[in-house]
Amino acid sequence: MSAEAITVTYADVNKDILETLERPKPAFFLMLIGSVTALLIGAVSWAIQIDVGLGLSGINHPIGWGVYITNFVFWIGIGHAGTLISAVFFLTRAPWRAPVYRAAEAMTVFAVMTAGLFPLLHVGRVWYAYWLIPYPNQRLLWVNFKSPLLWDVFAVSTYLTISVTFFVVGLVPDLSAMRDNAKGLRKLMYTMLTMGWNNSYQQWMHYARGYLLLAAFATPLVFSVHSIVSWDFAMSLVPGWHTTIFAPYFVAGAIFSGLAMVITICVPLRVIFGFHHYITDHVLQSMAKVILFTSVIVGYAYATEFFIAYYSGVPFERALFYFRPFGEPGSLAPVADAGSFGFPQIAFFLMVFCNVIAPLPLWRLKIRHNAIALFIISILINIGMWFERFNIVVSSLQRDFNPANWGAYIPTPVELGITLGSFGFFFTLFTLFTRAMPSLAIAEVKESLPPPYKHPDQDHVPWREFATERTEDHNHA
Amino acid sequence: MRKPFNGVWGSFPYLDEAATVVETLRKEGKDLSVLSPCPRHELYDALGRPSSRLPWITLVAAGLGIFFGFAFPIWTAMDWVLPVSQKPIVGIPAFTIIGFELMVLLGGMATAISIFLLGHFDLFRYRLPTSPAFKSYTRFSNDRFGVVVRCPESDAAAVEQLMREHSVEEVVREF
Repeated sequence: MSAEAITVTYADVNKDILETLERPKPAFFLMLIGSVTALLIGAVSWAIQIDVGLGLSGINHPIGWGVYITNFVFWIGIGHAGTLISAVFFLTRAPWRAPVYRAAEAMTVFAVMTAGLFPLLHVGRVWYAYWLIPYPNQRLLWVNFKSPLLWDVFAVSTYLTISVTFFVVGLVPDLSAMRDNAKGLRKLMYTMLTMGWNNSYQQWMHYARGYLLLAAFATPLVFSVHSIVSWDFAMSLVPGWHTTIFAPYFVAGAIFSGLAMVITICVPLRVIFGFHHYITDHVLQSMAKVILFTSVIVGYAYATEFFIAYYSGVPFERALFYFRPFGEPGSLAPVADAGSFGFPQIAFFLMVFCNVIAPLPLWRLKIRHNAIALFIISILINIGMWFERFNIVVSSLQRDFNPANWGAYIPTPVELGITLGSFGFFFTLFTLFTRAMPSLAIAEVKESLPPPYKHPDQDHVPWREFATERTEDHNHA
Repeated sequence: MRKPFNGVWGSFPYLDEAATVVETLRKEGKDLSVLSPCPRHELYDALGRPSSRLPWITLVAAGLGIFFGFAFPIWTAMDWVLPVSQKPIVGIPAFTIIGFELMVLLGGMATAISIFLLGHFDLFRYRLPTSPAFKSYTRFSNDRFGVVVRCPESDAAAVEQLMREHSVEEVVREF
């Protein structure tokens, strides 16, 4: 916490955060109208696709995975930051995580829910999606447990379940504060939701230990989920996909995009709800540092991909990595549009600009302390990461081993409508969340504040020494 | 039928004062509970660092997850044998993913459920006041620290005196 937050008391925390659940501000309605409109466009597009068929999308031979799988990977990546902040930074005791962890965790749950829609959309006949689940059936057929696609089903559903669990567990103590502040029907509702939480140390003891264990489980899960998503690609033989760098490359990209989305939602939260004392410049700066770090990893991964394509000597890899930035080489004129510079190439340069060049100003402290600059950079990163997923998914399928098997892909209006709808779905859920639940974790923010001491200078009591060290740590941070 | 609560409870505005009272009462062998708006190490240390049984439940559930994560794919592979080139029918490295995911899933779910169940079970052992005064006191989730002492009426005066010496804001006897 920075020096600004030291003046905040426990009672202020309750007041400031619970106040946001009272009368909604005009910004809430504006946000809701915008996101519901986008959601409706997506819903109508999906309805049309169900009615007419998957042929309305641009997916066709040889590009079997298009914008839907791009969106799936993108949203799973966005979902990474919440668990990273709530679990990994909890274990590493990062003092700046408390004010942003609730919003990030909600973002994770909603992003993974959004991602979960896309395999259903992609299969076309959504009513058969349950075939992905291993269930006893009359033909005694089982799913293929050796397939990365099935690993993904297990990984994503486990990730969603654990993220929701983490979210709910963290929310219960705050719901008790809401219950104690409410009257009538709302009090009854919150009483039921708190499941008998009474703030006693018998409960806090189990809570603290359980939360630590959940964080310990969720930490490897953060890194495993996007590794498994990357193996959907890397386990195949397709040029551009069949590479061992994919797991760390995807994980770094996921953390990068997820934290950018946290900044995208936290900067407006800070302005609209006046959370400047909680989501301080120091908090934003700390996230910006992690973004900068992962941006460098992502840039390095891009360079490595090109180097290995050259160094491997495999002509198919070399051809693909020439195609991504420059289009077809002149020597391939008989079989393709030589020298063409189309949508895949625009996507490539957008990816490089947004993910490698745009974050460079973050090396300057002044930029890291500027919320508006951070907001703009975070949006650019979100755009760049969407195009990175698009590049990986689509351009590799466009150019495989056999030139006779090459093809082109441009997203159709239905696919773009559904993509817009996914953003609508995500932001509708998040906007409603800010009205229904505390956007900041009340108990955790209190935990990160210096506690109310009557004798702050007395230091002979054994428990005091430990507490003083912790408080000093926070003040220094 | 649950025994009614007999004892004294008080609310403290200062953490250090509440922790001092807790530590003194614990050393005197009193049966007590503490309430606070957030977990604080000062109170945990003053209570003598009690341990939770929860990790054992997590361990068993995670172990079951690993077992099912391997056993189920192995059984299905043996149930419908599907040879693919020279690949082994029972592919342990591939099944490790399922084992890991189910370990996390069952371990995490059991942990979350146990947090609340164990908290409820402990309420039978560590009873809290049931009076309207206690139930309507809402600041333990806000900015006050509570100390609840289960004691006979003969000890109440001494407990109350100790609390008053340490800036208790409100103290209530319930018998």
